[in-house]
Amino acid sequence: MTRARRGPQKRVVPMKRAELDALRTEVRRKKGAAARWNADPDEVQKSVAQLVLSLVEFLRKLLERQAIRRMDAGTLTEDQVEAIGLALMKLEEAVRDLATRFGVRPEDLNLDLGPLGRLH
Amino acid sequence: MTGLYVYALVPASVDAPLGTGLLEEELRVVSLGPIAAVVGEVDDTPSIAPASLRLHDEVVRRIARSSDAILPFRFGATVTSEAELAEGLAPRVEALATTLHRTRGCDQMTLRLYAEGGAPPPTPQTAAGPGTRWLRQRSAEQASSVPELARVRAALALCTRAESVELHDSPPLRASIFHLVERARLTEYRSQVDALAAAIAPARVAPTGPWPPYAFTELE
Amino acid sequence: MSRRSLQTGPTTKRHASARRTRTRDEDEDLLAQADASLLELVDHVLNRGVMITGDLVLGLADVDLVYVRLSALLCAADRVLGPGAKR
Repeated sequence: MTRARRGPQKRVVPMKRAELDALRTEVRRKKGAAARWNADPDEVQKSVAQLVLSLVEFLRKLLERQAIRRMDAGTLTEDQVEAIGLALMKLEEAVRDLATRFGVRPEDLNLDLGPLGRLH
Repeated sequence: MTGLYVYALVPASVDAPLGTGLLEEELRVVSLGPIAAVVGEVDDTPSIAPASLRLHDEVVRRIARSSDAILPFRFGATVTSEAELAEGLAPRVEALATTLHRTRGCDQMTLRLYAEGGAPPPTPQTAAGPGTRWLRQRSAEQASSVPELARVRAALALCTRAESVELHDSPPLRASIFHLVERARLTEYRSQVDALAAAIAPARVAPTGPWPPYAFTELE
Repeated sequence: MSRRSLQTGPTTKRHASARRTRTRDEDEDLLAQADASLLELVDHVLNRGVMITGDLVLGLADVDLVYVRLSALLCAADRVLGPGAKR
């Protein structure tokens, strides 16, 4: 029975520059997903805004994913699709505007969806 | 101040001894009921550097050779005591035991799918309202103009026990596909991946592995 | 075999777990110079794997106080109540 070999087996195909950069971007993005929150005593409002908006954005992404799943599965009426779509649009805009107002960058709102974000 | 560095979870029935860890400390097994944690005593938390990351992976692989199933820990997990470890994992022990069981006899293979983007999906021009158009657009973006993805998944479905897919928005990297593959079927898996090359060109799939099952530590 | 020496940092006494806070800069240096092999290693060993702390760690005054596992709090409504249920 073969056991996991020491060290990853590399495929000998040259990687294009663009591919390497893209991999770097994605690895970086996933690593940067906000994992630890501490209130900054000098900028308490901004810290609070960042935490709240991160959670809202997390929930918004999750709601969007659920809505799409149900729309594709046909378990939403046309009216529901329209109403939910509008709500998500406005929610996304609201989060973005509030973040700007508090000086919170989009990348600071990035809570990893984890297993909930996987494609099924 | 001494701490315990946590490397992996294994079945409670694992055979000790398991060798040594990052700092050549003796590895020991902490029982958590149906599962056990493999830990090593360390004085300091290792900081992130390529050498440390590689060593962590090496130690996990070494443990994997003595255990049929394994859930690797993320790099850098240290606790001050066994009690803290037990307390931290207590609410999830059952779920972790199930997840661990799923990995028995398997390694992970990772595929990165590189493809040039097709044209972005056209905004559905229907008489539908703005909300509907927005949602349909999002749905189309998610399903993505990555036809190669479905092809790859279908080609490998039969020789994988589990699959996890992440879509990416950094062209040409379109998706990462993680597969749990029985060790006995790794050769079959690799030949399938090779056979795909011609079928999906100019898109390509870059496999790495086998890995310990880092991407299969949570049930979906 | 010579004793391995790893870069280590002082164990932070104030944290509940002996975990050193990583700075953004060190992480950036690591990634900026990384080749494909190191990127793959980072993606597996640093972005995945079991964590005791979960998705989000909340703290005050640099002390970690609460671990939040977001997925544990959530479940799709139509999976719990069934597709026929209202709302």
